[in-house]
Amino acid sequence: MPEAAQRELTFLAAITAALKEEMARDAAVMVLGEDVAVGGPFGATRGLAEEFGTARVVNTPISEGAVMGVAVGAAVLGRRPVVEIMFIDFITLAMDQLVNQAAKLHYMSGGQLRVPLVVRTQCGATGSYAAQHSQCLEAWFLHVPGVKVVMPATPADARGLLKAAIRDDNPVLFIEQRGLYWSKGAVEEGEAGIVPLGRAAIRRGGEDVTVVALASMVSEALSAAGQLAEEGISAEVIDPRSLHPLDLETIAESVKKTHRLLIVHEAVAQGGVGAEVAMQAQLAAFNYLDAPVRRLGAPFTPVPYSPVLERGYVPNAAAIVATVQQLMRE
Amino acid sequence: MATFVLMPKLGQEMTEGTLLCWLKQEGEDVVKGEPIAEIETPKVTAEVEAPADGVLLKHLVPEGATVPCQEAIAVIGAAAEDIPPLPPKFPTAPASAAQEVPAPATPFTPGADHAEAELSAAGSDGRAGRPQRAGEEGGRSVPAPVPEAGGSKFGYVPASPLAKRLAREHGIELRGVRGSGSAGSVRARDLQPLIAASRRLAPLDVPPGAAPLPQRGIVIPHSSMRRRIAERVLQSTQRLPHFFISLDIDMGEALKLRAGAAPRLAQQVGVEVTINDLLVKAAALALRQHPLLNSSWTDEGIRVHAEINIGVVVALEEGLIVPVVRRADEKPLAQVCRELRTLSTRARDGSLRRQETSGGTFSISNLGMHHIDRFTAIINEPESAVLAVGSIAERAVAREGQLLVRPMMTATLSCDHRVIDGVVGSAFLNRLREILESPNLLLVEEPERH
Repeated sequence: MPEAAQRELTFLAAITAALKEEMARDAAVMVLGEDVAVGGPFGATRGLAEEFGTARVVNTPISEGAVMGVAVGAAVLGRRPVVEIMFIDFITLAMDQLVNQAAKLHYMSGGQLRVPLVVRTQCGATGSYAAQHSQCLEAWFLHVPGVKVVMPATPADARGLLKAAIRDDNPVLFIEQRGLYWSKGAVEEGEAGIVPLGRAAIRRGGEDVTVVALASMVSEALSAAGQLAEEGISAEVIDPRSLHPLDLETIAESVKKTHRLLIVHEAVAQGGVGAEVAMQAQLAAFNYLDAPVRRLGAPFTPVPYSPVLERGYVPNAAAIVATVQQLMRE
Repeated sequence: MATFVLMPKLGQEMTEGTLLCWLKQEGEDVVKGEPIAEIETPKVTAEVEAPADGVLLKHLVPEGATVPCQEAIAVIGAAAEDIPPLPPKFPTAPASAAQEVPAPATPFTPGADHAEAELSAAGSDGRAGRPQRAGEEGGRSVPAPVPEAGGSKFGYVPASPLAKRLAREHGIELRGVRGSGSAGSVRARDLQPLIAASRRLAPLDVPPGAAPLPQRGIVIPHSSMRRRIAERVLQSTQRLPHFFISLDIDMGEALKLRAGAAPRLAQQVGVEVTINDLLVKAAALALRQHPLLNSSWTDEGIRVHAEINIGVVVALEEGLIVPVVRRADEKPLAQVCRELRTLSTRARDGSLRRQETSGGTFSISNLGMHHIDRFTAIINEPESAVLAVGSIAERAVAREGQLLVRPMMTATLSCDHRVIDGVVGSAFLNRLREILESPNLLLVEEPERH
């Protein structure tokens, strides 16, 4: 099949590819955001304006609330807007439109309205962007019925999940971790490689402990699993890919096999996605747990600017190894 | 500082003990080394000694409670001292029955940066930038939960959900299982040996295709003695290559000796001499000449024991127990007789002490009183042989062309073939016959062994 062709792309280029492919496929798809017509701060939308024109690739004023409001309205009227919020930290300014409008309209209109909106944004502590440009805020949106939350970890998933998100009739928050932008991987073309929302990927099979890792923590968890294997600890690494809908079945099946669960994300541990996954997993697999569920996340403090402190702030493979070792002793 | 008195671990296989009675009451003065409680294991009873001088502040378990080894059973301290609120458990406690109470663990745990995953930056005092380790929940420090030592008093056994489910599925009593998890909590790994044992034993382990077990009937829960017997015989039959040799012994002379010696011995010892006494003494003398029968297979080599300690199987209502007559070869028959009587009595009333059931080097099992002609016994590891004797009964015996009726007894020796070959076993058994057929040898004061 011609669709099976693969090429090596960066995460960023995979995002661009997905946008291009979907815009070419469906004229309703449009892109809005600050500087998107010139490629955006990291180049994710580079070339789109040239190819599809500035009517479909719209530069907006620096006003997240206004951008989101426009996009919600466009979505209700039949367009499939992909809004770019430059840093997830700025999403606070668009919360009302996203949480009170986008997430509620389908429900409050008795199903008459649909909001096929994708909000692309990026997150993560890397490159000393400091406390207002580095947060991981995905957990906030898990608390809002009506919004799907997606966090890809590989270029293939970035493309595959973004295409699925654009074709979804619900608001989807599509969170890209900045540290992954220049990572490379094989990416498929055409209709191949679309990743349905709500399906986890088992990145490495294992028997002794399940490590659910989000986004950039997947590669850290895989590196940790390699080190743990040398000690005879077999870790299964699961990348949930989308947080809502969550593929609880895959996680629970794994926990029933390994009897131990660790959830790792870069976001602050307290109140994070780890708590939600832990809750759902223990409910689904309580009688199979042989140790308390553990989570690993950033400390409860703003992201430091200092490169040294920033490195210490983000969980890494060494921390995962140490936590798993502790978990095995529990 | 208060000192906890722990349930002692009186040997590798002891996992729990039952507190029979308190010898010291709360508020009483105790001196280090003084017995304060009597405990019972499936095999023995023993006394728990005070690990320190002071006042017995509190009993942590009631009489009759069964408590895992190394769990606190009482607190000793100064008269007005407060009882420490959280008697800890000691996952790898030393053999000593006492443990000083450690200082409370600080919530700060040095380790990998994110191992605890929780750093609380700005406390309510707003001192941001001076992160403080905190517990999992809410940024406050939450000490690791420590189950109360009185836990078993209330029937609560800390265990993971998986361990509880496995215990339920395999009919294992969690109480008494030694937990290796945090704060002594039982984990699946702690149950694996028991599950392996129960799987081999489980009557429900029907081969595929076989008819299911009838559902009617009763289930007799395993007592700890039953479970222990099951484990030991299973292990022995699976690990030791047993072989069996038998011969018939003419017990006429031995019965005569018994009849002749009985009154004198009765006078000396106050009890009647029994066939078992003669068997113990005879086996001990035969073992002197055939030391391989008095040895153990080890990885280093065959360990030939310096002492000849003969275990005698005593049947009990709920199972059996094997008290040991030590250095039986060196003791006069009268003394063997007296000791064996004491041991049997103590075995039946459950008051055997640990040292009275350990250290055996050879065992004898006698079903003669139950009119069994012959049988084979399972070797009591780490011993290498066991003698099984049947009843003494009149049988027709051909001797020098004559048909005689003689009181005969069949003795069957089970041997661990790793240690003992057929000829070696036979030589021992023949020597045993010689002694029993010329039982005056039992009365001769044997020279010390060289």
